[in-house]
Amino acid sequence: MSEAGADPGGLRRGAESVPAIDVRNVSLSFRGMAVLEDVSFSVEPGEFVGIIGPNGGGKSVLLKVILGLLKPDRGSVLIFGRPPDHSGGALAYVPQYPPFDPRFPIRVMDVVMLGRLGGQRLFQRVSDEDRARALEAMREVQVEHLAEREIGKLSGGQLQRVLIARGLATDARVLLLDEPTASLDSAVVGSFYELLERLSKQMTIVLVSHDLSVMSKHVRSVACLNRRLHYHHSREITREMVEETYGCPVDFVIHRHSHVVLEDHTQGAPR
Amino acid sequence: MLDALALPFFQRALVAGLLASVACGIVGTFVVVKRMASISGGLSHAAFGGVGLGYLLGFDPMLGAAGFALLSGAAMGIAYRRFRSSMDTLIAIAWSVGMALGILFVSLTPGYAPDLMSYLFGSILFVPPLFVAIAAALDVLIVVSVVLLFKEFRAVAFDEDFAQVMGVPVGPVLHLLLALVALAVVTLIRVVGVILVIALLTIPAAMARQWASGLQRMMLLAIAIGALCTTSGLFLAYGLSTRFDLQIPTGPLVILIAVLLYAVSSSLHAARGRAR
Repeated sequence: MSEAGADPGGLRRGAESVPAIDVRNVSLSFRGMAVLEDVSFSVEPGEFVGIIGPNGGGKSVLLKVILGLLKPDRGSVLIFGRPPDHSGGALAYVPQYPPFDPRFPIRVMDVVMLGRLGGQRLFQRVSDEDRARALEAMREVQVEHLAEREIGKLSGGQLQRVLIARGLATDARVLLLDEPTASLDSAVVGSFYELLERLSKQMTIVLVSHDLSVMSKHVRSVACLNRRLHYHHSREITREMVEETYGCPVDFVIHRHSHVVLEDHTQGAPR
Repeated sequence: MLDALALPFFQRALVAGLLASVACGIVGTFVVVKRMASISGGLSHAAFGGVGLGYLLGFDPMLGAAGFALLSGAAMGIAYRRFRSSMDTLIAIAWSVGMALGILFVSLTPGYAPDLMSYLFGSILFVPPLFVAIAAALDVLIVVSVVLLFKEFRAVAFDEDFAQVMGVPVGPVLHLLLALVALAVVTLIRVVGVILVIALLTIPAAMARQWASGLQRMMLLAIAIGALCTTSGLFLAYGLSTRFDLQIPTGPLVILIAVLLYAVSSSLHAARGRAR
């Protein structure tokens, strides 16, 4: 636990003050290319955080590190004071692109039921409650009429909504979403963000998006991620972009090689 | 031709073929949906190293095949988790090293190596009674594992990352899946031989995917298709031998029948797709 720093996992503090997500000095590179450099931030329980940044800025990689799917070269990640792979089903996520073979023979209902795996032990059968939770999640994003359909017969937007339902069907306390509305019709997008706002009253949400207008409307605080030190000029662009979009001053917490902003402006942002 | 059914050796061959179909239908379904065809090919060729070792040291070559397949399955599982990008190369290495070791061991074996061809291309008509019992036991093992852990296998086969986030022990589940592939390879070696195993692990399941929805139905249909291929292959080999005095091994016939059926199935499937 020493790598967690002076206060490992906030164990010495009261349980209510343990951050939902605590990322400390995380660095990660692929084949010598730095993707994340010395990234630190924490998200308190119940926050609704947006992460913006240029393409290739490491947003998706950061989500994977938080989820425990990628191990950082340096630094640590704690979810409610525990490592991601021991967080006991606290995490759920909605990926940007379906990471699976779209011809996989599986029905929508069974995909959404994957979100119920966390609460189940090995060998245990599916309970009525699991089924009810899956149906409820499908209703939230209007895919319950597709329950019996094979995923290969869905449109891109329908499939994306099924993935959102899968994330909603979990018992997670933290929901991470990677560009979840990229392939949705604009008609659905509005109600989807309303849903996220409703959910954000019960859970911590981290949303990666390049849609700055959406961010300003719904998200309560924002982080800007760009991995690398030689992008000084792009930092400026991002800064202007952010300030213009949010219409409020945004403080940049600049680390040596990357910059991460995490400034709560609950007061300023419309709720 | 039905008089063959009265012959004990033919009955045994028939049963061995049906037992192999169960393994190839269930495991083959995962091989196809998880795109592990080359892994299964690597495992079956690696098993040949064990066959050679059996010849050299004088134990049952099937035992060696099982050991080598399971060991290389475990090694590939570790490799898959650690260095996913270079998996292709690692499979090629296991594939060729297995064959090289097998040939090396056989050449070191004093005297003539009887029956070697039957491990390369199968020899179901001369399957010993003990093998039928082994295949039955392996089938039970495969069926029980898949029934008990169906949700986990499906979750890992479908979306490893999400399964891991949900707390499914992805590593152990993958290792178990590879072990099942190794066991299925063992049941199939007697039917079609190490070189042709990959065909029976992929063709019936790929055909089943064209018509079945859901993994369970795909498995059942793949078992039926596998049974059809092995059974008709057996009768064809028997008929060619008794009527025309042509001694043709069953394994290649089974594979050719499977490929023929696959071609018919694919064109029907495509025609149905166009008709819609």
